[in-house]
This record gives sequence, structure tokens and C-alpha cells, in this order.
Amino acid sequence: MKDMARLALDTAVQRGAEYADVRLVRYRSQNIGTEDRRVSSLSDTEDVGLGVRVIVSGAWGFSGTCDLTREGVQGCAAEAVAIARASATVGGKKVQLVAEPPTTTRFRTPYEIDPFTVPIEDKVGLLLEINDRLLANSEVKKAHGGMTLRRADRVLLNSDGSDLESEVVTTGMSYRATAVGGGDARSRSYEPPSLTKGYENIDRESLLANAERVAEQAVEHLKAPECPAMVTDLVLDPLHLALTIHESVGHATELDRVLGMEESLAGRSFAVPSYLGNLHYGSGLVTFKADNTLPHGLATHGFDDDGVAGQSWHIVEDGLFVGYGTSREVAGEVGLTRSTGTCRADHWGSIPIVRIPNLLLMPGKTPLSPEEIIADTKRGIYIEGMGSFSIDQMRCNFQFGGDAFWEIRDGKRVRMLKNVTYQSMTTEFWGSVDAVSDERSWVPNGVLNCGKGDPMQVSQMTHGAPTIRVRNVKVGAAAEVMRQSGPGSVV
Amino acid sequence: MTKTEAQALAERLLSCATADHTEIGIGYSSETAARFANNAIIQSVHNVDRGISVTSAFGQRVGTASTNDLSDDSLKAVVGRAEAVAKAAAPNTEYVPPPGPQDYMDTDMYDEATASFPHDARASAIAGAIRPVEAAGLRAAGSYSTYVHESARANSAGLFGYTRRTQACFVQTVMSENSSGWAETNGPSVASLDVPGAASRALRKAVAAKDPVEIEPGAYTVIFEPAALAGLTSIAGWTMDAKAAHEGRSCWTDKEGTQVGVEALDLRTVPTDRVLPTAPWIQQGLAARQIAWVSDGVLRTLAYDRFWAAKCGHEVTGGPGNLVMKGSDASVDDLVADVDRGLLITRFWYIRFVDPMQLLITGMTRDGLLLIEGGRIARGVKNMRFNDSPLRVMKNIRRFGKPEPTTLHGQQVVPPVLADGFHFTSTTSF
Repeated sequence: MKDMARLALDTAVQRGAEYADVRLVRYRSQNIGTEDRRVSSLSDTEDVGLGVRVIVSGAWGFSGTCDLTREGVQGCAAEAVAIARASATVGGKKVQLVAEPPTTTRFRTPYEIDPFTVPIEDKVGLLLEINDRLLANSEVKKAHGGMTLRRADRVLLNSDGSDLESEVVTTGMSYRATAVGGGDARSRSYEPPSLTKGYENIDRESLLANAERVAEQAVEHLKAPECPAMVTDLVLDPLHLALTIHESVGHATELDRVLGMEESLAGRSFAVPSYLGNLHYGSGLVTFKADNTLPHGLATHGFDDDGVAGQSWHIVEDGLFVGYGTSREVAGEVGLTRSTGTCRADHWGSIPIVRIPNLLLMPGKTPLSPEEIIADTKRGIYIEGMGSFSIDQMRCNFQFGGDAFWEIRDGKRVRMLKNVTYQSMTTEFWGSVDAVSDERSWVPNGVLNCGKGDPMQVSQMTHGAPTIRVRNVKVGAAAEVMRQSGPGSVV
Repeated sequence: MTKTEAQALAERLLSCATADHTEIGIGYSSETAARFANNAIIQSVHNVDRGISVTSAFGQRVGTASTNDLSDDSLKAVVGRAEAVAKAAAPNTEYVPPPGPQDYMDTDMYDEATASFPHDARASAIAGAIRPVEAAGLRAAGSYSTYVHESARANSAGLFGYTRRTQACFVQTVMSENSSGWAETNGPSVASLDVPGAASRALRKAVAAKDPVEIEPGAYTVIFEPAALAGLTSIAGWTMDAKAAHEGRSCWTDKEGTQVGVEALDLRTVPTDRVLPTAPWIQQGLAARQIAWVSDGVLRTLAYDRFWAAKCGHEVTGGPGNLVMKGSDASVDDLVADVDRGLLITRFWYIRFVDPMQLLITGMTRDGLLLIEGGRIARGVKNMRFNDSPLRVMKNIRRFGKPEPTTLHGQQVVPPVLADGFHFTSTTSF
């Protein structure tokens, strides 16, 4: 593999690239889906290719190919240079990379069990056994399960002299029960953290042990009353917060987006550089730390696709906005002399772009449990898990749902609710956080399917979080529209 | 990859197979895109890939393996891997053995000039689109993409099909200090695009939306431009699964054969559409055909896969490969003239389900939300969040305009429409 990468790099430089890098990546993945008592999908995929990125006359060019013959990789490198030359004719600001000393690095996800050595019968058997337990509840009419297993073997060489190799393994599994009746259908899910970890991350005992509860809560969810429209306090669990953090903090602090480079698709951000050091992004209890060295983090890959080692740094510290995720191309725009190392491509055939790092809401510094937060809440709603999510293209106005909701009354969870959504503005929301649980309840959940870029790229990252309370949030406006108008009503 | 080459490759793979049933998918793609922002090209990419997928079935035990390595060893291995995976699987009780030879519609739209569109010509077109924006003191962003796709299907029952197509798409966003506008142009070839026209529309929209004011959320008469309507129709199309509806898990439960929209509503999948065709096949290589999802406002059919169709005694439809809605010759300006007070919506952003059982969805307006007063565009308005349902919109359409192709939410050819009572629930700061 490396000989072909070296040949591509040499070709690019010989053809006039001022900077060049080559990624040669081999992927393997297995995806298994189950529905009720059948295997609904089962696939095993292999994919290998090479991507060449160059700067010529201050403009980027990129070409990717699955043809790994000598002619194929040389042609790919030549294409990248030709593309860059054509782009340079349009003018504009020349690409300048902040320095990164060349290095030789080998990174491997620490894992105990190679997921691809585990027999498929075992994987399928586990998924179907869980579905059996879900369907044992007679009011559960539908059970779905899914397992995702991935490996990426990457070689990265660049014209600075870096020689980098990585092997990253990702595993994850989840399931969902759906109760149907009375013209309605409601679900409940179980989704333990996906991590860069071996098959030991698939905790059979825990997955089976939660099935009965999930089934019962799907039924309770079906029978729950609707959430009224009101202003109330919210207590949010770590899995729910993974998505809120992702959308309202993660994407908002990607520096390429801030600089307008994502305008054509994913939009921009309100968190402009003049706010660094003076915008109160959240209350004093809120600290967001980026950490691409987090053990088993979904964005922990040893080094990014700029060849920059994984690091940790603050995005928001004690409520104050202090940092961005960057690439070597954009880091200098905010005076950084080194990139924070969060530039990744989702595939050998994609150009690397700034991605959200492992972005963590840090636990509270004083002892406080989620149960204590609820006990301290007079009126509110407790939300677990992920559901509906939507945010505007500047990352300000957002609306979120969840997987399960409970009314809190006088410090107790009294009953489930359905159709809970909340709407807020980003800094108003995080500024209203007045309780953060401690490290005992901190969980490293994440997302496997973050979309960004044009052409679209899909990436993964961890968003660890504790449980928090947010005061005075508007809930229920979405469902109120339908209650007043009816789903098929004529004006 | 020619048809002959694809057929030879499929035969090689099938000759290695020992399963009861084997299905082969072969694909080749070449994608080239230049992306621009802040009035300059910032990324320019070209990617070539190919793929082989093999689905093997022993009885109802089914598994799929795929690779993009076409070496002899890899081709033998991918069949072996698919069969090993299938043998290890538990049964898929909804598996249907693959169909035999098919009579496919001609949906090929291949243009050599698009397949070999030179990089400097693409860069030059982008430069031409940026120039007037820069001259106006504004900023342009967007992308110019071209695609080549060739694919083949084959199976152990003797089916073989081959298709190839090209596609081109240009989008532009123009930004002032406090507004933005957006436009697109799509087609099967670069010659079918109107890049200067799209650039000009985006610029005019950004200027018209300048200095936006905040208005109260509530129910409004609106004009959905095609890209905005496509956001709602795609949600409707994705959710039309017959099995979920029959199992009571869908907003479409008990709605087949009922009035779901105004009488003029007609929504179809048209495989041979001359701008945005579909593949010539659906599930497992079965021949695609035109499907009338809604006609005269009545939901004629939901989406039936082969298993559920056989179970219900219904024709197989597959899912909506494209969506084509009937309209009129009326322009957006004609629709605007019909509105006493309302909003013109260019497009939506971040549409997501809120309650699938009511098809309640949410999203934000984007890149041009304009207030209409007395039949004219009055001024720009700050973007708003909506919460509403396509089921309500379909019953409150007052007028249809001229259909236009849009690829923002899948392949669709839909008109601008004027509808009443669309709900906005909050505003944002820009």
C-alpha cells in the first residue's frame, strides 16, 4: 500500500505541487439489521482507495481513485494538480497552511476483540434474542435492532515529510421497541455509547438486561398524555445532550464554517472570532472541552488528515467562548500558530474538511447526582435519549425532542409524557444551565452520522456529558399547532 | 465500463456462485465538483470509484458482500464472503427470490460533454457567476457538480440490466451583510444548465431580502418555491411505506383511496422524466414503471415492496425514485400577485420529524424569506421556524405554478404552490 502512496506523492510534487498529501485507506464494515424475528439486512463491505490533495498557485486540488495501479495513482496525482491549476485562475485568497513539524506516527485503537473475528451467528443471535425479549411484552408490536462494526486502515504521507499510519476500529449497537394501539405508535430505544473499541464494547449482559425495561417504557410512552405548551425547567440526560451539544456547540465552532466556507450547504455560525474571549456562551457551570486524545473517542484517530496529532483544548471555559476546531488552512485566521488537528475526510475519495472533534461537556466540580437534580426541581420535564432535532444555519434557533420524557413534580418523576419538544436560542439555553452532575454520571455517548460538506461527508465523534438542568425553556409549541389545527385540517 | 464489460463481469461472478439465488450489482461513478465561497473557489475535487455487490441466498438466509477491488482474487473472494455471511445469518422471512429477465424502460440520459467537462471550463463558469456578485459588493458561495453513473444488475434467474447517465447541478448562495438568496439549476448535462440565470436569481433574492424585519410567528398564506415544496413532498414520499401503514405505525394508516389533498394535486414517479429520470429498475432489479401516488387529490397507492405486495395481493411499486407534480404555466410572480398578505419561501433547512404519526415536521426558512403585501414583494423578513404537516399543506393548496427540477431533497420536478394557513412558531436573529 505505502509504495503506491509514495508514488502518488512524488508525482504530485514533480508536477508542481507546493504542498501535497496522500491518504491510502482500506475500510471494512459489517452492518446488521433485525426486525421482529428476522434478519432484515446483513452486509459485509470492503473498500480501498487513494486520495491526493495538493496546493498549486495557492489553490487546492483533490482527486481520488480506486485504481491502485502505477498508472492509476500517477494519473490521480496529475489530475489533482490540474484541478488546482484550474481553480487558481479564479483568484481569491491563497491557501496558507500553518506549520506542522513532520512526524512518523503509528496509532492503533486499543482493542481486545477484533469485531470481524466474532462469528456472524453470535452477532445475529444477540440481536434476535433482544428482539424476542422486547416482543415478549404483548403490547410491543415491533422490535428493531442494529449493529455497526467498522475498521479503517490509513496511510498518510505528505510533502512536509510526515509518515503516518493508523488502524481505527469502531463498534456500536442499539435497539428499539414500538408499541402500537389506539391509532398511535410510540417507541423507546436503548443506545449505549458507540466507541472506537473492539467487540468488547458490545456488552451482551447489559443489552439483554435492559430489554424488559425498554419494552415497558414503550408501552407507557404510548399511553402517556401529551405535553402542554408551557415554559418549564428541563433536566437532560447525557445521551440526549450528545445531540444538543453537537448541533449548538460543535457545528457552531467549526472555524471553516465561521469563515464562510460552508455557506453553500451547511451554513455559517453566529460565533464569530470577535466573540472569542468575551461571549458568554453558557453559564459559569458550562465548560466544553475538545479532546481528540479521549480514550476510545469516536474522533480519536491518532492524527487528523492534515497530519496533526490529536490534542485537547477548550471551546468554552466556565461559560466563556475561547476556542474553535481548526485545520492547518484556517488556524492562522484566528492567530493560531498550530492547528488543533480536527481536519478529517470521511473516505479516501473525499477532501478533508474541519470536523467536530470529540466535544465534551465537562462534569460538575461539586458532588451532585442526577437524582439530586431531579429532587431539587419543583416543576419540570426530564428527557432521556435522542429524538427530533433541528437548528437554523447560523446555529441560533433550535428545536429538540427526545426518546422518552417524564413530568417532574415536587422533585419526583411522576409520569411519562409524549410529544415533548423544546425550542430555544443557543446562548440563552446554555446560559440557563444551573445544575451539572458530577463525573459519576458522565457518559461518552456520540454520533456516527454527522453530515457536512459539499459533496456530503459523514463523520463520527463523541459527545460525553453529565446530566444538567436548564431553567425556563419553552416546550410543546410544535404539538400545540396540530392540537389547534388538526393534521389534515383545511383552513 | 461498457454494457458488454458489465455483462462479462456479472457472468464471471455468477459462475463462482453456489447459492440458491445470487444477485449482482455493479457500479461505476465519477464525480467532479468545484465549491466556492467568499467569491473564490475553495475546494475542487474529482473522485472515481466502482463497486461490486453480491447478495447470496440459501433458502431465506441472505447475506451481502461488496468490494471495489476488481482483481481476480477479490472477485472470487466477494462471492465467497457473501455466501459465508448468508450461511451464518438467521432467516429473513420476508426474502423473495429474485425476478427473471425484465423489459426495462429507457431512462438513460448520458452526455459525453458532461462526462468530460474540463476543469478550466467549470472554473470559468464559476468565475462568471461570481463576477456580478462581487461587483455588487456581495459574497457568493456555491458549487458546480457533474456526475457520471454507470450501473448493472444481474442475477442467477437470468436478469441483466445496464444503465448509464450523467447529471449536472449548479447552486449559488449570495450574501449581503444581513440577507441571503439562493438558486439552483439542474439537468442531465452541462448544456441543460442556466448558470448565469441561477446566479442572477440568487443575487436578486439577496438584494430583495436586505434589511429584514422581524414579524410575529403564526399562520400565514405562503408561496413555496419548488425547492421549499420539495422539502415537504420528500417527507411525504419517504414515509409512504405500505407495511408500516398497515401495521398502524404510520400517518398513512387507513388513508389509501381517500382524499389527502386538493383535487388538482397529482404526484407521480416518472422513470423516464427527461430532466431527472430514475434508474430503470427498483428492488432486486424489477423493472421500474410510472406510479401515480396521488391523483385528483386521492392517495392511489402506498409503497409496496415485493414481499408486502405479494402478501396483500397488490402490485409492486417500490419507493419513489423521483417525484413529479403537475402544475400550470403560472410563474412565481403570477402567484405573488394573488396574495394579499403572505410570505414567499425560497427553501427550507434542517427539516426533521417531530411526530411521524401526524407527519408533524419542523424546519427553518433560509436564503430568502420575503413578505408579500398587496400582490407584490414588500421586503425581507427574518427567518422563522415552522412546525406543520405536509398532510395539512396538501389540503390547503390554492394554486400551482410551473414545475421546475430541484435536487435539494432528492430528484423532484415540482411547481411553486400557493397555500394557506402554514404555521411558523418562532423567529431567529437573522
